[in-house]
Amino acid sequence: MSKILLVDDDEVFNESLKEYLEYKGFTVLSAFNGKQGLEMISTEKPDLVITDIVMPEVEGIELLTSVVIDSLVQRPKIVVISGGGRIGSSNYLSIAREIGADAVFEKPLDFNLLVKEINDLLA
Amino acid sequence: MRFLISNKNTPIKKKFLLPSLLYSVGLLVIFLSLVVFYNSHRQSNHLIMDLIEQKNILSQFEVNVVSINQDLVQLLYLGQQDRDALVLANAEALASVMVDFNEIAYKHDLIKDMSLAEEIEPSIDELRLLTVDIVGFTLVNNLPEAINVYKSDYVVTANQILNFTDEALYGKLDQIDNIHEGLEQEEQFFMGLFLLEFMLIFIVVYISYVGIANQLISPIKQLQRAANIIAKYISLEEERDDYFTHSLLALQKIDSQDEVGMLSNDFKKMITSIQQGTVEKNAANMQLRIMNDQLINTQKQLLQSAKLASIGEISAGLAHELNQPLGAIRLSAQFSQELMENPSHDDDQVINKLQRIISQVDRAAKIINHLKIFSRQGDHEFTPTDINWIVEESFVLLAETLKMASITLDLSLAEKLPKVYCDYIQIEQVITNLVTNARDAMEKNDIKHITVRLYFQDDTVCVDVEDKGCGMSSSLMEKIFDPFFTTKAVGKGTGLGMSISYGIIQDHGGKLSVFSKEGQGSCFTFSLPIHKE
Repeated sequence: MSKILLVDDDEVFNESLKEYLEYKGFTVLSAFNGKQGLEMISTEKPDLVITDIVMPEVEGIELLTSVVIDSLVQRPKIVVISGGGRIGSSNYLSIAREIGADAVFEKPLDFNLLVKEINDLLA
Repeated sequence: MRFLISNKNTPIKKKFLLPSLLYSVGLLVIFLSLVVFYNSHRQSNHLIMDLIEQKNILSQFEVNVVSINQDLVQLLYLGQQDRDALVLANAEALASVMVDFNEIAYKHDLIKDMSLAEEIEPSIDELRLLTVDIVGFTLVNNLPEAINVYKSDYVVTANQILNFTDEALYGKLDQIDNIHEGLEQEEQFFMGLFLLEFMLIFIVVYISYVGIANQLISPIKQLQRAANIIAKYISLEEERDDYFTHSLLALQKIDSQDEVGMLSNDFKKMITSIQQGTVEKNAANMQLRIMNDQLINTQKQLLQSAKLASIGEISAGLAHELNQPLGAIRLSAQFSQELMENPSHDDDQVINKLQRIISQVDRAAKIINHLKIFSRQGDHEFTPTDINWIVEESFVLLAETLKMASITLDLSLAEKLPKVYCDYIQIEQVITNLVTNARDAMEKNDIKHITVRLYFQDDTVCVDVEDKGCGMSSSLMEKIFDPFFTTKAVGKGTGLGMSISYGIIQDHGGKLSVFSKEGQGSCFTFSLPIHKE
């Protein structure tokens, strides 16, 4: 069973998405900031990471950069979700894609598409 | 003397001529009365002197007659020779007395008393003749016989004279008494007359002075009334036309042509020119008021623009903040739908998702409502408010913007702070300005931290907003509150946030100040006076 790590500081969204993905048959872990997320990536070795961009401590872009740089050989698939930031969410998402995100989504998103994308990435 | 010469023949001076004239006439009458009294008194005194002299003559005459009589009686008791010699001597003495008496009597005013003179003269003549007869008879015969023959005649005649003189003497005394009585009456009469004259002069002069005073006082009173009305208007600044009309009406009642009349005319001119000036002033005031209203409107618009600009500063954060609940709602709705499509679904699970939707809608609504209140145009109410609450409310909109800029916040509220009397929206605007300013100052920092600190000091409630940003040089600090001063790139800041914040705090009776060190950060502090009930 594929293991997914969810990194989002918004507890309600984090909890909601966790329940949904579990309902869809995934094992889901939650982290509530980038620092915690990075730690759990190294300890839990998830197959896929879904991360928000705007977060306290270490934010999403930083997390993405670290993952990409640190795990050159084998790294989890990364899906970035953004609710918008100071320069607009689409800007963040294109930066994320350039750095190496496998998929990007903008809040509020169609979760059917998200699940489909996850299945594609993990296939 | 100068006061008599200058402004001669003025109307008021003329008014004093009549009473002065009356006064002079009165004094003249009193003087004339005095002259009459003095003359009459002098005449009476002369008369009394005359009468006393006459009385004295009569007395002397009586003494002489009595002395002759006594001498004659003595003859009876003397010897022959002596008798002869005495008679002779007596006759001579008697004759000389008679001559003297005649001379004195005629010389003096006795002669004027004709009846007395006529009555006495024959008796004196007779006495003289009798003496001559006695002398003659004595020489021819002897004395005792002569005395026997003439004695009775002699005594009768002498007594007759004495009777007459006595009568005259009493008459003179009566006359003197009468004159004295007349004098007393005259004195009383003149005293009364003088009193009456003095009273008359006083009454006449007083009445004429009162008349003049009334003529002078009544216009002066009207003038005083007019001046009072104007004085009241100047202090009240209301119903001004009404006051001018009343004042002019009061002046119209003055019809005197004297100096007071002239003064009232000048006063009328003054009021008219004040009225005219007031009309011009009113027009200018109106113009000024219109311009002031425009200015206030512009100021309000500026405040509103600045407020909207500060919302713009945090708008990205707001969008993110709103997207969080929206994302959760979207997810929960989709999840619910999928659950429902499964016939063997758990109802509790669906209900749980729907509850989450409701709570997330409330979360979004809270932000939107706050934004609505914050951006509402127009005046807000001043109310006694706990500043802790305002700061917490401010971070409903600000929290996300700090999170997006990776800024950590140390919010140190103070318990039991006294309330401040303020417009909380405006204070929130100040806090928003200070926090976004701190956020921007730390754009290039590695460590991003803002401290917001509340405390009570010197009867004021203080709020510090401290950053560890780029700080400011002292020359920059001097300009930080100037309007249109900004260090941000073109298009990023209006340059009004700080100056408007400064104005808002000043309007609240507070102070906004800054302490900053270049490269180390800044601390903005605003203080507000506590609300005293």
